[in-house]
Amino acid sequence: MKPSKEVQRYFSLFDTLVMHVSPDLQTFNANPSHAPLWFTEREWEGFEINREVLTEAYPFLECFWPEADFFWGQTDKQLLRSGIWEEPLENGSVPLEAIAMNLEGAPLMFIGPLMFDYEAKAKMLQQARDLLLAHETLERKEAELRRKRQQQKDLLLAIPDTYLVVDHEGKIIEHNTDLLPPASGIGYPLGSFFSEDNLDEVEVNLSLARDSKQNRELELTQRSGGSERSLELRLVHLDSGHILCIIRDVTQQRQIAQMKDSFLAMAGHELRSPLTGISGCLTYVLEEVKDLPTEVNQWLSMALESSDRLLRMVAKLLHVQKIESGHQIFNKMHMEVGSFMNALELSFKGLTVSTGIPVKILERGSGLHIWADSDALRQVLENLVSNAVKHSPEDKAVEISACLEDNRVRFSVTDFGSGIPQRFRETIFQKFTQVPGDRAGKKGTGLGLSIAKAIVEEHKGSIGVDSEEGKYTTFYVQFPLFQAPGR
Amino acid sequence: MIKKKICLLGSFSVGKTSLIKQFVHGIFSEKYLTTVGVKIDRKQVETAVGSALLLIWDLNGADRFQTIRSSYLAGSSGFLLVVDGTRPATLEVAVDIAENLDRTMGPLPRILLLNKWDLRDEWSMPEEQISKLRDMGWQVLKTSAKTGEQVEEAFRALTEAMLRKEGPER
Ligand SMILES: Nc1nc2c(ncn2[C@@H]2O[C@H](COP(=O)(O)OP(=O)(O)OP(=O)(O)O)[C@@H](O)[C@H]2O)c(=O)[nH]1
Ligand SMILES: [Mg+2]
Repeated sequence: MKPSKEVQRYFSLFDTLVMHVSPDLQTFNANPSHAPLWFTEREWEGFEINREVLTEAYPFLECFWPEADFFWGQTDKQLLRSGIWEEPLENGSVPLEAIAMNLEGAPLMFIGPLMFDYEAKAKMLQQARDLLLAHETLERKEAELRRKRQQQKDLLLAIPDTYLVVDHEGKIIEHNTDLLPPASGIGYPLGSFFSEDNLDEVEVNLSLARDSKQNRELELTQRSGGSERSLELRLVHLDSGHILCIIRDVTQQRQIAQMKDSFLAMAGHELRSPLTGISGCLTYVLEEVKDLPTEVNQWLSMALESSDRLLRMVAKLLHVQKIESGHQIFNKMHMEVGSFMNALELSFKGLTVSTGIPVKILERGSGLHIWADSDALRQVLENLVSNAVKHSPEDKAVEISACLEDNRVRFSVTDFGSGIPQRFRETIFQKFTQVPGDRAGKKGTGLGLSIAKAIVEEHKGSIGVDSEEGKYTTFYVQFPLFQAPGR
Repeated sequence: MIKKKICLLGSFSVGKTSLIKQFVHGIFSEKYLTTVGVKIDRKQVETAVGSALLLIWDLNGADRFQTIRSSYLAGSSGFLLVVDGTRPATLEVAVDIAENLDRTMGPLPRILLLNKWDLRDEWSMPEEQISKLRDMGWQVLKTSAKTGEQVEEAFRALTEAMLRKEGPER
């Protein structure tokens, strides 16, 4: 029995195909006049469709047949739904569902897009899943953050230094020390950890680290109850916006360095008088005693030379010591760089004559002014030039320049010798370090550059070296540009 | 022409629909539109041991809102189980599904796809779970529906395995 016209028309309004199922459940009969678009897109031979052809067209039905056949065999139920499948169309797709029915004992099948149901369901599912995904992402991010925090903590635990973590407001939120001053600790400002006279410097650097998001390093002397401690502070800007303050007590290192320096000074002083005595005696013998055998004369001359060299070294050592300790008095004045360089040029003429290596001045810095002790500056440059000459190949000139760079006056001395290997560039300004690769093994005291450094730093300047192995070496010193008041 | 039904299974949003789109149409979209119900695509695949027309069943991702009807799996000859390499939870779902398949479907050809390999920087897959699936007989491939890496290979390898299982004479 076919469904009544009315029923068919009803379903056609909903774009649904109604099929009458044959008693053997193998043939499906549809009214072509009511066939919806997604159905008529197929090429059917009439509308007597057997199950195989229908399954070919809608493979999804494969999994519906067993349930549907069972359903049609019974009569007590009204309706069986297949579940939705998406049917591809030429442009896009349509969600379809098959429904098996028993209408007054006759088996029927509908296939149609149950849009209302579908859209509501799809929307609900989409929302639920978007939400779940967002939730999952959040959980993953949180776990990652937790892991990072833990890592940071583990790292801090492994550090032997004291550390404090400071929040956005500058308050301590974490630390690893038992040695807190009375009014300091969690909730107190970072400054509370330090003595009164360091407060400003700590706060200034803290806000600099925070604003620039860059790490800062500083050294402090912490005074408490008559004792003094040297502290090295490192302020590290963390991703969280917090600042990690790592404090290393370098009191002992500083004391050792000081002891070394005073030992050197003392040894220098103690050595000077006996050495002067030895040199004096040797000079006396060589000058006053006549008819010394030639061989003895030679031996004595060599002894005098060695003794003199030792004396010069002691003198230099005492010189660095004096500058470093602030006991050297510099006669600083306002000097014009151009005329200074002109004067310097004359003394290099002599050097060229004795060594055969020309010294060229490329830039003279005329019109630039600095505030310096011209004798000391001359000593620095002469030292750099004499080093350069020692390292210069026979046929190459040593080049000197004075010019303005980044609002500072820069003097540079360049030789085109073998260059200085990277590993030496750091230590070269320390006492007793030799510049490697002297031509013809000309030995210095290893103090020249430390004297230069001490002098330059006393002038609030800086000294440094650029080099490329096998090509060139440039030593440079920089001084603040002198700005006459009111100019 | 030999017809073979295969199913893509796995948690939601792992890229099942995307893998099929890439394989069948060569396209990829970033937008996530969850599949409601079932979508069936066809594609003919040539392999070293012959060709087959694949009926590729894209099943909606399993989760607490929707479970896979076991009737959907009936008649399948092989499975692609998909995991989102950036979401470890989807591997757990995959292990559940795999255990279920073992009970209900028996030892059919199967490949585990660790998808979204283009996002390998965000990758987080616990190795022991993967080896557990390897021990259960799953071949493992790293795919990207976005770049197409290993996508064709995955479908072809499964087809070949299904054809071999059937024997050369048919
Ligand atoms: N980067 C990247 N994204 C992918 C890849 N595969 C899928 N996606 C994205 O992941 C999301 C989910 O992809 P679908 O293919 O819809 O996932 P599904 O497994 O079919 O999801 P359900 O239908 O809900 O089960 C979409 O936003 C895709 O663009 C991939 O290989 N790489
Ligand atoms: Mg999908």
